[in-house]
Amino acid sequence: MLDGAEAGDEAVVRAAAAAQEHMQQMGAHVRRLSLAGLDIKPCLGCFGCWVRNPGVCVVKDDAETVSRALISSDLVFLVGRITYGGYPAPLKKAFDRSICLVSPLFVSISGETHHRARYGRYPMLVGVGVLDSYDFDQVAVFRDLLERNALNFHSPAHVAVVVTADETAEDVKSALADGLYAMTSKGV
Amino acid sequence: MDSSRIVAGNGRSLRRAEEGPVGVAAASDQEGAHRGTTTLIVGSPKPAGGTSAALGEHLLQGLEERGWVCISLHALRALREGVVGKDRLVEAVRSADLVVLSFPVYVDGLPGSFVEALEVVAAGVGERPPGRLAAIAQCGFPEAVHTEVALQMCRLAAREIGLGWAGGLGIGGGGMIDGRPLSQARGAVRKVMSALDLAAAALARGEDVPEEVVALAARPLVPAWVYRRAGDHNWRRQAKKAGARGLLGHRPFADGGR
Repeated sequence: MLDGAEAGDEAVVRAAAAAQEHMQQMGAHVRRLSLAGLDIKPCLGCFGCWVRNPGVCVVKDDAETVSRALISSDLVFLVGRITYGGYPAPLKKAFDRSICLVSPLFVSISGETHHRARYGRYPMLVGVGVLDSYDFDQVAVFRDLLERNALNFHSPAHVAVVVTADETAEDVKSALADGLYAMTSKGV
Repeated sequence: MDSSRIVAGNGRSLRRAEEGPVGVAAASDQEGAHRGTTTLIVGSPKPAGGTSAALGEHLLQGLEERGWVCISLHALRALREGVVGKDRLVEAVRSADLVVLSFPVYVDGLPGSFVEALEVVAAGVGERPPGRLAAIAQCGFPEAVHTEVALQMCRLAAREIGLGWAGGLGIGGGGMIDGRPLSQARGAVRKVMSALDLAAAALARGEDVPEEVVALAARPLVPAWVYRRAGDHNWRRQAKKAGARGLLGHRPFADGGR
């Protein structure tokens, strides 16, 4: 779980904690990485992780820990306040640095170009986005984002779960249960 | 590209943005009619701005030719400058008639550092600024469809900051431009130049980027299979040059059985 809570954002902390508890109650081992406490520099677009040291970012900081955790998981939770329909900056910086997990080489999938998979198996993606109040425009973009992320990350399934800041931990768990059911009932 | 330059109608670099609004006024007076002010914010984390800077600069050129005063800022560099750089970002947005974002698509969205820069602007700009916002999103895939979500994010960023949305161009095949100035472009890349020229003309008139210009920019530069084949060749060539020949498919984190 990539916990993208920024300092003092209790609603995101509550959502991440509720998601962790929900998964643990289901018997999952959950590793929660609080990005606020990690040193993750922005991706510089140098492609060193593709051509100089294939599979590993050449910038040495905590992003390697995140990438290793992502690819060794069955399910990845991306938790954060929805920002312009996407992830907040700390979460996006960490996710940007994960391009080392795919190959630079291209492949055509359903008529679109993507990067080839580097690994044999990729995790399912669960986006947990927090908003102050429900905003259809932001939610629509967030859902599209998860769909595109899953395509480019070779994820077998994905779901976007959106909660508002006034929802309780139990509300978050309920929304997650619905989301995970919808995702898995698609035949994963 | 200079991260912070002010250029006049003829494209000459006049003064550094560090000189503040005085530089803008001087540029305007010197060049005669001042039609408006544009702030270009380059969202590429590459130090020189790469392809995003080349595309944004070409659009600015079209505005300069129509009497606009243009300012360029590099988002990541501004963030690294701390309070001074952040204030400059905010002030450049607050005082612009048109804000242009030009950036590479990273993992289907805006680069993380660019999100941070826009958050700084949104938090600092205060009351609704007067301008509008347009965006140029480019990606390393041949199809422009990969830029669509990122452009929607720019529309939402404009709403959050309080700027009007003037539309966005999504451009595929960024690898063919590869950071070179578009004035040196040949062949298929000239299609992109045409789209940017038409977009600049519309924006200078105060109009949105026309739908047909959006469609022109999104047209593949070459057939996708040609792009994939050339791209794969290029990645292998770069790996060979870097001493990683035959290692492109390496799986360093495969200890989890993947």
